[in-house]
Amino acid sequence: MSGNLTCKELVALISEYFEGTLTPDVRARFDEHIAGCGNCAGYIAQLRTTIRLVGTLREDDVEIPAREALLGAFRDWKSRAGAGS
Amino acid sequence: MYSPRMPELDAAARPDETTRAEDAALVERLRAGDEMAFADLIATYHNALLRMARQYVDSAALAGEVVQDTWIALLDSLPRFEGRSSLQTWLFRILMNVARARRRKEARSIPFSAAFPSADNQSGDNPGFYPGWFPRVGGAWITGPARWEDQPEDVALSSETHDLIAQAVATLPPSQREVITLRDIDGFEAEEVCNLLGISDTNQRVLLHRARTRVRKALAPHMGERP
Repeated sequence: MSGNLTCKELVALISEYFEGTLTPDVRARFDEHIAGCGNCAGYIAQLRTTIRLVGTLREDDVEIPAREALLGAFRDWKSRAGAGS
Repeated sequence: MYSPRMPELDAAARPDETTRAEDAALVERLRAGDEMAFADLIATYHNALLRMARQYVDSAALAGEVVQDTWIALLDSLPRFEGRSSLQTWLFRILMNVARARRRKEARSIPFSAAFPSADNQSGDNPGFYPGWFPRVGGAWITGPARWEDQPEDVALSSETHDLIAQAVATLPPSQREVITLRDIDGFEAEEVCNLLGISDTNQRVLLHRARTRVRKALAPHMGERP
């Protein structure tokens, strides 16, 4: 591609931008666009915030139903095995 | 710092006396039906077991079932545990047996992409944007994304925000949830995720990006957007 990136073209490239796989030439155009475009800069900032917030999760947070099921299974095992007093 | 590395498995080494004593005490508590002991054990090993199981079977859902079965098999095996290996080694050996058996049972290997067909409403194969953001002709935003309030890095998350994000990730389509969990929660590199899931780099990148944009969208109403 030649010339300036449009916002639409930039948004289509964002996944490669985050992965660091843009060619230097395209990356330069990308940075140039962001410098002058509040909409795209804002959108990228929101994605960065999203990634950071997702990073605060632990796998437990998305595995809670499994943990509850396991504790239920433990109680079933207990009564089957006659464990405890 | 959360580390995705697997616990060291030294199958040949006999456990030292401290480990034997600790294991014996834990086994006693489990056999007595001490739920706290079992909950502690799960908390320690469940995620590592899941990641190992994932290397044997084709999906995160199957890995979850393998690990569930492993925990029950562990409990049933307690009368036979003699302390000749550590409890950790015992546990992982059970996992490997369960995982291999399950793999044999899953006669047909379904490709990852066929197991999780993409059903979201994002446009096109690659671009991570929604219909209505851009005109069909021309490349400028129709309406720019609304501003979020600044999120200072050192401010602790409110439990409300935390729950919202957890919910957003937990309700993603399975393929997207798997990739965003491995990349953004567990910290695996792109190449490792491609190897674990058996998918191409492009596929991985697209799934990750779709997941992130979905979570962003779920977060947006909550982030103090000003018009």
